[in-house]
Amino acid sequence: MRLALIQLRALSRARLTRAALVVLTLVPLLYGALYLYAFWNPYGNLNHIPAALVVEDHEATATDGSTVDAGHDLADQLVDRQVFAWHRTSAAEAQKGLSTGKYLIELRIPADFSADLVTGPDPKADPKAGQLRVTTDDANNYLAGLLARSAFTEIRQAAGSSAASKFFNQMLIGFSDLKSQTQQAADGANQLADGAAQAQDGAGQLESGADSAHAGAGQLAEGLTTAGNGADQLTRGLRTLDAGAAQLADGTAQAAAGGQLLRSKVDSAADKVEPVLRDNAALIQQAATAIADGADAVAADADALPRLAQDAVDQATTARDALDRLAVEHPSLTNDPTWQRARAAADKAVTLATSIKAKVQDTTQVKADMTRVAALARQVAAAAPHLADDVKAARGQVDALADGLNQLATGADRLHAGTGDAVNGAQSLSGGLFKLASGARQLDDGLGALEDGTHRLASGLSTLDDGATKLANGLSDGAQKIPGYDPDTRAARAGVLGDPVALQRQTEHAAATYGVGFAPYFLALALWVGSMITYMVLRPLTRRHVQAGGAPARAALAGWLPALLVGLVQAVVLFLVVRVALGVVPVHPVEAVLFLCLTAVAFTALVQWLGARLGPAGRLVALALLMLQLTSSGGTYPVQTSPVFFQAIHPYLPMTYVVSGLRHLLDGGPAGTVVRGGLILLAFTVGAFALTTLAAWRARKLTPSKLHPDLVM
Amino acid sequence: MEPVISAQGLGLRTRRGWIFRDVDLDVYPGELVAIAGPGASGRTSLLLALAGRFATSTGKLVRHGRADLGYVPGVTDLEPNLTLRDHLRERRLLVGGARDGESRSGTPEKLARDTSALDRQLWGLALATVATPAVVLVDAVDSGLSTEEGGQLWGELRKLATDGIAVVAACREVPDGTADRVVILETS
Repeated sequence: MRLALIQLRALSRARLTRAALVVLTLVPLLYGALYLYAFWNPYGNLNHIPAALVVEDHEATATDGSTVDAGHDLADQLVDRQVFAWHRTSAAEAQKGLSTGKYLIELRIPADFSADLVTGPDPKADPKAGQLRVTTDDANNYLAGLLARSAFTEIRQAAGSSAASKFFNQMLIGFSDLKSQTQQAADGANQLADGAAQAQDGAGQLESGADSAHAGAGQLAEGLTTAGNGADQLTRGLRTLDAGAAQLADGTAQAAAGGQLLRSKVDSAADKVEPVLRDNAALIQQAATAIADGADAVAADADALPRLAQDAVDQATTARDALDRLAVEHPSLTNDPTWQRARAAADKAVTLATSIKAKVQDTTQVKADMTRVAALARQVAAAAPHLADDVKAARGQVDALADGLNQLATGADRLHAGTGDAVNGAQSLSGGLFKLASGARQLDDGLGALEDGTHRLASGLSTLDDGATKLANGLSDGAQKIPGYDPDTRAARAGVLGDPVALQRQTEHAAATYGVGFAPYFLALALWVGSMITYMVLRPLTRRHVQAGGAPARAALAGWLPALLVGLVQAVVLFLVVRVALGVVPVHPVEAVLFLCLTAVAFTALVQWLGARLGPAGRLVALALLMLQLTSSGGTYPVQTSPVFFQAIHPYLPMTYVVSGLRHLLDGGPAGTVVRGGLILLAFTVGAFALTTLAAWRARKLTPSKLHPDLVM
Repeated sequence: MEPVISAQGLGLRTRRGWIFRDVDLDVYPGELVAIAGPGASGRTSLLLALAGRFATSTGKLVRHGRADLGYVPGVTDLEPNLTLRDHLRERRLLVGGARDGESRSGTPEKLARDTSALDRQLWGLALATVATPAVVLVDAVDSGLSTEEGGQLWGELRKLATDGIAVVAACREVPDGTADRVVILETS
């Protein structure tokens, strides 16, 4: 411990060394505090990152008539929220700015943003839910691309709070399974409905057929029954007919027999009578006329009979009545046997007279009869002359009659035989018809049951058909309303649901890995450290050279060129190792090597100058500059995320340009940045050399402290 | 003939005091001037100041012609791993002179680290004359040298002076008769 104090005492005696001790304690701050200060909260300083906002969107009209200007709303929200430093520009400006590094992020709101939001989900279209595109350029800054991811959260939140947020809720939701199942159900229901309709038609036809069949069967049964009845009647009738025919046969046979008999009798009678009549014709005529006159007379008198009878009755009655009066006047007469005999005789007379009156009452018949008799008799009288002829004729007629009767009898026999057959046939017909009728009744019953059944079936099928049709319609409607997607689009749409504002991130000049993204930074760092180390071994300015008395530039050159050669070798070796061993493949390899060499040129010149100007302290300053450049060159986080101090010194430090130039050479990008960086590095080189020359010129004049320095580093 | 170096009232003051003070000196071509004084007397500082290679705080210095430094320890130190030839080549490149000074030394292949004090002085002279200066200033002429080597060195310096180059030599003590003029510095 005391040894340490002795050392420190030595250092504390001189002002320079005292200062050096202080500086020593502060050197770690260079890396620790400075670095931490620079990168304390890059995500909190996103509002300094310049972002280009390109709004190509137009207003769109929703189905309910309201206008939606989602793109401009979102843009306003983003600008107000100030999470990034948004600058509204045109697309061309934004692209140019992105390539030059003026903007680190470009957000493009496309032309159909509002229109897409408003039209709602279209099952046939690809899922695109208001696509926004964020573009970064890894050639600007690798981490800016990663920071852009935080932009997504920001944009999503801004979109959620913008006026068009409700439209984001109409974004696509996948119902694929439900839809396909519903569609299947609808198809099935359709088929069911069709089948039910067909069944119903069939059932209807069946029903009408069954109806017809039943009716027909009923009619058939009826008809058969009727036929059976008719057959019965026919049988009965035929039987009757047969019986009648039998009777007729009998009768006609008898009649024929009788006719024969009659003929025989008539013939015999006629044989007897005819001559009599012929002979007695005049007698007969007289007799008949007499009869006719007599009948006429009777007829004429017939009318009088009733009157007479009535007179008799009246007289009898009067007599009786007189007797009765007499009895009344002389009641004792009643006991008189004479009177009694008289009364009895009167009664008898009355009764007799009454009966006679009754009998003769109806004289009309008698009159008619007598008239007829008279007429008849006159006819006989008239006919008497030719009665014999008549008898002869009658005889002929009777013969004819007998012949006819014989024929009739024969025919009746035959008829009888035929009706017998008919009866048999009718009986069997009847029997068959009854069997048929009973069968038809059974059929009728069965068809009746069938008919009932088909009625029920038809009604049931009708109901089924209605129901199936309704179901099919309902399912079809429902299925049509449900948007449905195949599995890929479903996944895409599910993604869209979770992320209604689709953010595409496009990376220009993409760096493959973190390594590639940070390579420019670490290459630049390596070459600066290389220059520092080189000038720890080599001297920035050799006093001998300075004091040689030649041109100071030569002394400066003499101090620079060795370190420059070492630096060039460092650069080439660095590139080879990074390229071959680490596999960083630059887009422009040759230019990258040359740029690295230029970096070595510039850095060695600068470090030489620091050493030439500041002597030993130059190394500390070089270290400090290293720290400043590490924090402000933008090689890690974008410099805009660091405090303002670093952003201020950012353009004045050479590593800034080395990093940007190498980025473009490794990742690709416009050459302008590289050329500009290269020219600036050349300027640094020239400036540093000039200053070194100046320092060499001034260093010729020594001072006591230089001659006997307190601090030798 | 005008002096190669003309100093009037030259002085240098630091926080620690005067390094040298009130120096009046004119050095003419072909002159061998010696600056003598004890150690830490500011000899080297004055030497360098006269060459125009040192800060001064007072006085006036006028120089005509080129002033080159010979061996001045701490100022013109040789590169240990280079030979005389390397040094000469280097000097020629830095200065653009053509004079060949190799003949003044007999050991061109020796590395500087292996040189003796005399070698260093002689090398210094060789290097200083590359650019054909008007005056050569050397320091520590008598340090680290034996009497004989010292005499040899003074002889070389005299030769230079004879060639018309003014020589200013700083040493502790000046042997009598070697220098044309002697400036004695005293420590305060």
